[in-house]
Amino acid sequence: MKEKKEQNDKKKITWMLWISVVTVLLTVLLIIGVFQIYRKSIRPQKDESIYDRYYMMIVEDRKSDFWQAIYNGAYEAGLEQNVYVDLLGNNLARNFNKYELMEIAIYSDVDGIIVEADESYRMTDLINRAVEKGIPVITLYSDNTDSKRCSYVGIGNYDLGCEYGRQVLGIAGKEPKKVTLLVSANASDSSQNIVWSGIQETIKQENIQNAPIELSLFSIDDSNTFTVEESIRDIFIQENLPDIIICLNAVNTACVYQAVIDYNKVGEIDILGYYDTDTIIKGIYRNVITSTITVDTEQMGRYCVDALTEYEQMGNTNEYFMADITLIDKTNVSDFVRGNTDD
Amino acid sequence: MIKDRFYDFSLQGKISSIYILANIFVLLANFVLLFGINSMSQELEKVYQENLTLNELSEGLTSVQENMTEYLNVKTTEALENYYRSEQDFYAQVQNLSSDISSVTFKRMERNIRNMSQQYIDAVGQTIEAKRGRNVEKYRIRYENATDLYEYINSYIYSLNIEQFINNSENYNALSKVFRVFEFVSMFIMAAVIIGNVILIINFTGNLISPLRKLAGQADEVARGNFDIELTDYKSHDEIGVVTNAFNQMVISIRQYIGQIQERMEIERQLKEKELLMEAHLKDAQLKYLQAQINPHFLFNTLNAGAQLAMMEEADKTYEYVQRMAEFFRYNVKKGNDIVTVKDEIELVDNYIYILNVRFSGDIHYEKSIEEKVLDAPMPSMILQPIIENCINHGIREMAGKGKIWLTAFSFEGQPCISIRDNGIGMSAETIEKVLAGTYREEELSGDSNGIGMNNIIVRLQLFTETEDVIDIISEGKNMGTEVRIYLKPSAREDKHV
Repeated sequence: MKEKKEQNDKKKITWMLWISVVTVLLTVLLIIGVFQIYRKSIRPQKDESIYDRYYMMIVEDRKSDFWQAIYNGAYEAGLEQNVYVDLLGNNLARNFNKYELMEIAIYSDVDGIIVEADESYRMTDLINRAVEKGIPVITLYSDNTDSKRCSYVGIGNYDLGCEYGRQVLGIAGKEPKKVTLLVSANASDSSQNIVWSGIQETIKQENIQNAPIELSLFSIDDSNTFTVEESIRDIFIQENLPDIIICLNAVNTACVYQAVIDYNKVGEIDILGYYDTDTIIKGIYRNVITSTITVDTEQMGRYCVDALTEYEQMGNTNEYFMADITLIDKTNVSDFVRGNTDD
Repeated sequence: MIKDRFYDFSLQGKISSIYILANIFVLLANFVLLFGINSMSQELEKVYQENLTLNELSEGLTSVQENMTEYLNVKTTEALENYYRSEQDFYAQVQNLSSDISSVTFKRMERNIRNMSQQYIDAVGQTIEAKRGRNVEKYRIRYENATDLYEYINSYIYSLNIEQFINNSENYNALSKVFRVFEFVSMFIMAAVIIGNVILIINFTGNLISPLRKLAGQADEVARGNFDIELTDYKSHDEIGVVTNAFNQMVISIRQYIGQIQERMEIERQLKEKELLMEAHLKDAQLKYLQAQINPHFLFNTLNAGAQLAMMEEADKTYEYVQRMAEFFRYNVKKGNDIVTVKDEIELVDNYIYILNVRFSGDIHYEKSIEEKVLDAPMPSMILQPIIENCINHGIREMAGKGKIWLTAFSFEGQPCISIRDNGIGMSAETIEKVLAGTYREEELSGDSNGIGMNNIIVRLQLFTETEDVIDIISEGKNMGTEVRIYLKPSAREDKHV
């Protein structure tokens, strides 16, 4: 009996000792664990990866969906080839213009520059400086033909014009229509001229029903961020309103769309838009925008990176890369809505 | 093993070790918490470290630019030296920047700053060179270039600084939130540890104290006189163990001692019983012996035969003497233990005095005055004769014929009283007191005494009357005589008379 009791006492003491030791260990582990978890949550160890090459993309309107989409295409393509593509200016406090950004890119000794160029001398000079320094330059969306850039990635502006022309003819039928193309007053490149000629040519050649179509240009002052909207409103103040308005960028399209609603001209004016932002897609859904032409932005971005890589590896590459264009209208808009929401 | 050693600890050792253990727990918890807090504060300190480094870089850059400008302006050796120094410092700072094309924006920005800075250092170097070569146009253009670069770099550093500051502020906020959480967790853990400690201590001390409590209960039982308690066996070697063992030893000893005493008392009692039995037997034997020696029947018959012989020889006096003697003995034989009447007793006294007077040739003067109604009152036998014997032996024997005895029987308030008075030497008050209290030691039985003492008389009278006040002894002093009064209980017959 007594021995048993003694044994029980001993067991109890041992048991309590073990319990205490385990408790202490658990407490310590708990504290350390909590601490570690929180420490990691503060400074998440970003999976830092190091890349072989570094390309910089320089565009005017970095924040727009259009350019973001292109950048994403380039970025994704870059990751596949162990290249980091940076949209220069994103993290900079000052708002540098694209020439300054070009200089920064050149001074930063990057492995390649993708630039939304123009036909200015300054741009030519900068591109040439870069190329002389051994940095290949790709012009994107708008070209600088005089420079030593190795490649141009863009859309077939003539094809774009043709597509717009076909849309106009489709809307017009036999009716006489006044068509206005919104062009940038400050553009120094020839892309909108090519579009313009594309439209003209198409209407001339494919107007089987001989509809009397009156083509005109309207210059939009886009020298300043807010002037675009004001310029577009000017159209609606005129007495002689166009029947069809063709826009060559997403901002113009959005502005026209809003103006048509504000001036209660829905159904009277057909809008042929450009690109597929949410607003534009919504416009098509609501029958305010007739159709829009979208560019395969992802493809454009990819072409840029491919061209640079190819140039680097082979010493040369194609002069031109043309991205596909797609027409979005009432019939296929739902695909794009889904596609966009999926993104 | 620790637990075995724990058993060998003293009480102080045990309690101390428990408290030390508890304190170690608290200390450990504190250490861990302190470590956590320390790491966190280090983390907090680190937060803005990067911003400080960038500020230094910016200052270095500005210093190079200013020194270059200064040299271009004044072209002093001092300015040149300053330029070289600042350029060297700046170069060293630039070398610390990351050169990786990293997915982390800050690092990429660092890389760009690094590359631009290296080009800037080149550009500045070229500018200085051109200045020394006094090529005004060249150094002007190069200066402009360098200044542009300076602007870009500065702006880049500024941007990076802001980006990092925003990020660091977020980190700082997150960190301070975590700090709060950590504080809460710490408090919780401390509370848990303390509660655990309290439970541990209560448990341990409870374990330690429980044998003491048990011991106290047992001691209480023992104090109440119960030695039949179950003794606890406490193996621990601490003070409680010692006390418990001592207590157990004490209880065992007391039990043994009590056992021994009981045994001895039993033996003693048996011995006493035996002794008493033997004494009784002895007395019985003595009595039987005496009885055998003096067979009253034999004596009586013999005396009767003597009386008849005297009558035949016509010796009347002898006849009467022998006759009375025979009656006296017959009384002894017949009424030895019976209840008799006062009359019987008086007759016996008459016979006794007659016999004594014959023996002592009429030296005893005897007078009696008896009330008739008292005669039939019952009383124990052999009461008066011993008193008379006392009167004669102690009172009047030495008076040589002057001694006188008065026997009076009367009724006092319905109660029969017998008074025996002599005119002998009397009794002192102390003697009277001693006799009445039964403590008076009588002298050796004299040959002619029948052996019945005053004490015997008093006790028998008390038993008979069932009262305490049965006798009075009155003596007015030396040679003033003594009176013994006996109070009997009233007889039924006498009650009728009354």
